[in-house]
Amino acid sequence: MAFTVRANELVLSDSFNIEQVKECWSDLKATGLQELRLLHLKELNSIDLAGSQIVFLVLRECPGIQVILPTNTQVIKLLGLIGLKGGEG
Amino acid sequence: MRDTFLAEAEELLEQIGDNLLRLEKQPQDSEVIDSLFRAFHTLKGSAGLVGCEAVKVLSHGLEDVLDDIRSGRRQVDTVLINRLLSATDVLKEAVAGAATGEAPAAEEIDGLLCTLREGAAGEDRTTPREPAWHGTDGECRDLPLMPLPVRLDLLQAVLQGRQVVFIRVKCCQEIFYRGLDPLRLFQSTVEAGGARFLHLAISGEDLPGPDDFDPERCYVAIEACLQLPVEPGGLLEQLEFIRDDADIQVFPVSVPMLFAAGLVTGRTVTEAGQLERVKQLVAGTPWPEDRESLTAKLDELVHVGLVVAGASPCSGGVACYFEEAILLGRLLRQCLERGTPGAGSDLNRVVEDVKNLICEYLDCHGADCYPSLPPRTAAEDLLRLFFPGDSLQPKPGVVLPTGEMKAGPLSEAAGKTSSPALLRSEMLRVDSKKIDKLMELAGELVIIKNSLAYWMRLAQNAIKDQEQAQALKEQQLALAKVTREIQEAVAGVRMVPIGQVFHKFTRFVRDASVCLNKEVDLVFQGEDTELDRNVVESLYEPLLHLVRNSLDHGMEPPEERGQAGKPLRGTLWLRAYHEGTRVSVEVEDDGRGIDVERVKAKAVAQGLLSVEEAIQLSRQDALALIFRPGLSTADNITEISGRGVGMDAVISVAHGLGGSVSVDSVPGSGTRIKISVPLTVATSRVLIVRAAAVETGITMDDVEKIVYLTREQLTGMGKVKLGNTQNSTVPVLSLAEVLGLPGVEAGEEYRVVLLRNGIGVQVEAILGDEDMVIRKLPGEIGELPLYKGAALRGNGKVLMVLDSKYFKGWLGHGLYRQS
Repeated sequence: MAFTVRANELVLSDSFNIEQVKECWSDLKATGLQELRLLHLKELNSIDLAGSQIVFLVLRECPGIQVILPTNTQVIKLLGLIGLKGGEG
Repeated sequence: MRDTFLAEAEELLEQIGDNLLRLEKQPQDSEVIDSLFRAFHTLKGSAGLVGCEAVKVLSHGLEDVLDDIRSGRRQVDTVLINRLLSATDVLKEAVAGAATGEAPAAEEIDGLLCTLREGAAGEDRTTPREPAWHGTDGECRDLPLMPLPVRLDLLQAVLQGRQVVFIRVKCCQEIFYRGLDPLRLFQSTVEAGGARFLHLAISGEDLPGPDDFDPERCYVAIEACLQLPVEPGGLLEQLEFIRDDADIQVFPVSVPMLFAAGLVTGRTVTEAGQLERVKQLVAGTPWPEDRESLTAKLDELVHVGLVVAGASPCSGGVACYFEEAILLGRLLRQCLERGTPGAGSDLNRVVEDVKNLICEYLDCHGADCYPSLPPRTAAEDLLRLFFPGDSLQPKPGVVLPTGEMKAGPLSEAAGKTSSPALLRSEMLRVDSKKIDKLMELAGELVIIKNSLAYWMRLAQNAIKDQEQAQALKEQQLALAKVTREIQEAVAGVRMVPIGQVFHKFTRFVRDASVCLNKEVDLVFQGEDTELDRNVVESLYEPLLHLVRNSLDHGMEPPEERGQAGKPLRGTLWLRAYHEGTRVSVEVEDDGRGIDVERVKAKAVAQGLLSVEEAIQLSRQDALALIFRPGLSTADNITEISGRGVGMDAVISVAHGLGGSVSVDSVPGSGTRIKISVPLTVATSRVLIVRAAAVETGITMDDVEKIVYLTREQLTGMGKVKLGNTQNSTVPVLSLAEVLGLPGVEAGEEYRVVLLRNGIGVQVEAILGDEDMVIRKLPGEIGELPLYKGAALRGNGKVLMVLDSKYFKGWLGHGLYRQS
């Protein structure tokens, strides 16, 4: 599973792309976007622009969210394009 | 800050008005177009700095139009000029609103912008635009928001002459449905085209809120700075593949674009210890003077700056110019390495100015903090100083045409721009009220100096020690000299060219001519003639009345001029020149001239004269009737003139300035009206005379000369005598009699002050002359026509200063009484 939405937590892993974004967004809205406290990206190995939009929106709507950065350097680089840094968003 | 903006905006708007009219006559003049573009651009930037949104938005719209003209996408015609002039009028209102808080309505501005754009759309139909490749520098506003290390790299690349472009790719929202990942596509396209990424980012400014967000639509834009390959054609070809799915904008990156143009918010480096480290480096020790050490110092500044910027937490909201300071340091370092300040600029002075600015930027953080010079302006100035006319010069808003990429286009006009702000550092903008106060104090100093001279004369005999007496005398003379120099220096500060007023008529003459269906050329002569600022400002209203009358009554319509064998276009001259201590300002037209008989008839019809008086009037006196209140020879009241309230206002203002007005007119050839005013209204040289034991003053401006006449040279005509001087015969009045006091018999010799208005005034004694500050007296005594005002003398007494015009009236009265 490329994503898991739990209480206060969004976990993205493996490949998160256009194929998953609709379902992921639906889950997030159902859980409550404002409730998110942790964005877990450690296992994320690839992400496309559609996936990045979700991350972008989460970071924008949840200013104090804690982010666990991915280990994949390509993904780090890619998410760096939207100004993502480790620690608190 | 706001006052500075208002003063600057006023100057720019005047310049804009003049240049728009020039553009109408010379639509292809690139210098005028560039100048207009820069003026709107500067206004936009400054308005942004002070948060004046209306001015910023409107300037931006006007700037776009000028950009279209500059790039040939739009042609200049009268319709466009009219629109630009109307928009400039609203811009003036918006600037005025910045002071009063009454900005034009947003709807009005939107409407104007729509009108301006309508014209552009019309052009588009004939000249297809390349929307995918065009934009303005306003859309490049994100460059200064990039991280400091990126900006430093970009600066370095541009200064090394590399072709660097900013590219923004905004894909259509449906692109994901086509199974494309725009980011990967863009990256591979760029790499295939041989370009190199200097920076890549995703902009989410169009990303909607959670409620409107559709995850399968693309909202973000890709922004990148690319270093182009030597042959950029390949990249263009590659980008063509994604053009159908995306709106692509490309701008060449210039150095100034990397600097913030306005208020910088969203980055704060306020952590005291870190910031102090940089401040200490900049201001804590003197900067070396040799280039090598200087560049090393600046390298260290950038290095420490990067460390501090990297270590400081980012938090938005308040302004901070820390990064701009570091970037400016890097630019100076590169300038030192690659160039030398242009002619007339001292390297050490420039370095010192930049250092001061860096210090200012380092101190500039917190809510609503504005530096004295925006970073982008500072960068532009620095480039102009070190690389005048070079390709590093900015040309904001220039876009890359399809199929023809070139980096960093030259701005020839930018190279011609004079007095950039860094060069202007020796200039000081001062509130005119402060200068007026200084002038007033200088006037007081004159009074004290006169007083000291008076008391010194009295005390001279009491001082026994000759050496002491001599020393005091010398010091008093030195004080007199310095006082005069101070007064002249302050008066010099207040001197401004009369062209400031003349140029205000360019627009008026154009609009009024159109309104009256007349063709008129306005010609300025002697516009550099300088006189006191207060005089210059006071002259606007009388000149307006005169120009109105010339256009409305003097100037014939083209068909009438044609029938009279005159050129169809009339000419109106505004002229100024020195005449001794006075300045003459003339309004002359080559119109139909004044019909003297018609003036007399109107005066009789309006009850201003009897028929008999009208018959006896000389031509000159009849011409002077036009200045009588309420007299208008116009049959119709127009929007321009004809109410008969203007010309008497001319006289009134001229007299208020201690001046005079004369008129000369030749039927069929034209009319010339001359206003003669003193250079300055601050102090006057006053001749002190005595009559019937009363001391009074006559300003030296009114005095032609002083003569001594014998009894034989004065022939009696009752109480008015005629004095025969060497060259002429003049009426001579007894001052004592004018004052209503019993005169003293003069004996064999009469002292007569000959006035410039052709009247002699007999006095009992000439007591000398002094520099005095003449002030209008309040109350009833101030209303007496005999006196111009009063001055405080050195002996502490008040001296009433006579108005020479009164003598002329009194003379007529005297003759009337006798007859």
